[in-house]
Amino acid sequence: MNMEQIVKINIKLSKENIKKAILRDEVIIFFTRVLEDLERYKSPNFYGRMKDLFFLFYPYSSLDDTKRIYQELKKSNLLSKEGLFIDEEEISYLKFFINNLDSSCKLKGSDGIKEELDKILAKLIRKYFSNSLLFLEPYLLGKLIAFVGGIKNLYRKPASTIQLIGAEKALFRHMLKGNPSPKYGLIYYSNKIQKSYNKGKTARQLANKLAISLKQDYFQKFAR
Amino acid sequence: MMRNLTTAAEGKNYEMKDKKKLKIKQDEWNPYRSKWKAAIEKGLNILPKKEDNILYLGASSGTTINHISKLTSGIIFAIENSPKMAISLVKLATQKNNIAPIFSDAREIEFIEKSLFNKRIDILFQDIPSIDQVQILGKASNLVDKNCKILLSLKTQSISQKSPKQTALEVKEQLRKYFKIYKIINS
Repeated sequence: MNMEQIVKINIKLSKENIKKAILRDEVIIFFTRVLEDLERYKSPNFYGRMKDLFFLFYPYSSLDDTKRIYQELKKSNLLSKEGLFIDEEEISYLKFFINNLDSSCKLKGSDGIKEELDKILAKLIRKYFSNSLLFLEPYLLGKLIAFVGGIKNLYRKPASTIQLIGAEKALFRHMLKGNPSPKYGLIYYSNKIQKSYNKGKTARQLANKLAISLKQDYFQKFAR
Repeated sequence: MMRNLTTAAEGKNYEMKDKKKLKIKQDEWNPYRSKWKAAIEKGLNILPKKEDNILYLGASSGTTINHISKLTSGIIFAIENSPKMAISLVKLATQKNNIAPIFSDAREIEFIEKSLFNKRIDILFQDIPSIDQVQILGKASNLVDKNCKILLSLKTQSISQKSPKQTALEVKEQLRKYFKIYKIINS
């Protein structure tokens, strides 16, 4: 074998394998981060989020300017050969969000858009995480996945770790200084814990159920 | 300092003038970014010769590989598992002509052996901070022959919580059965 041929074959093979490794939960992570931005700031601009989205679909492009990237995204049809591959339903959701941005990449004035985005996230979660939806609200489930960076990192974790995601600062204060240990992390805002009388006990039960159902969802929908 | 031919590496880049007063770009190989360079500053004298083939486990985004590819004219096989880092590695490989990226786990040696195409390997570098770091090296050493030089960068904290000196001694006892140890460098 010639040296140039070996290099060419390996580049082509690894491009194919990388395409298989990018999972579809990136779309769910994108919508939860947009909703988090809308909660935190008054009128945010989405240039940074658009840049993340562009490099999911076209990972090998050499563009760098953010305003140029935003104009390229408006033209493209979101069907890529090398990056993330999604079906028509998800393309229509992403197109809906991009069309509602104005020239300086902020949301247009009307108020109904935020409720519409909430509905889109609920539909996506019902499609991929139908088992875990029985125990937790869709927005909190999206927050859990976005915090650890993907379902591939989350489904391997034990129940006691899922219970304390988001409470790392209190956990390390407990381990170093001996303060009382935390009982719940991001899970705390769910409806079941807010209603219950003994909150620590309910958080442990909820995390045990989640650890089983997340494994079901991963092997039904995402694993090859 | 090395001559910059195509793309700029990470770190400081300088512009100098040749004997014929032409502009040359040169860039610095930083020991705080690269473990191979840090070992050289501590007294190691292993560098790739001309036409050496290198197998590099745990290549990440390719900062060290960018410097090494200027020294040799053989092929460098770079192995990486995370998709985000592998994308920037493939980007680098399309600009150079002697880097072959392989997207796979370092434990699956059957897949790696196929993509080597029976090339003889002269230097093996391993940089994977995980618990079974020594076992991965044992598996990968089946791919090379007797005269190959092996460089291992060991992270003791990810193997056990004992003191670093004690863990390094235990690993040395394990490796002594199969390999001939040339030099040990402490940071």
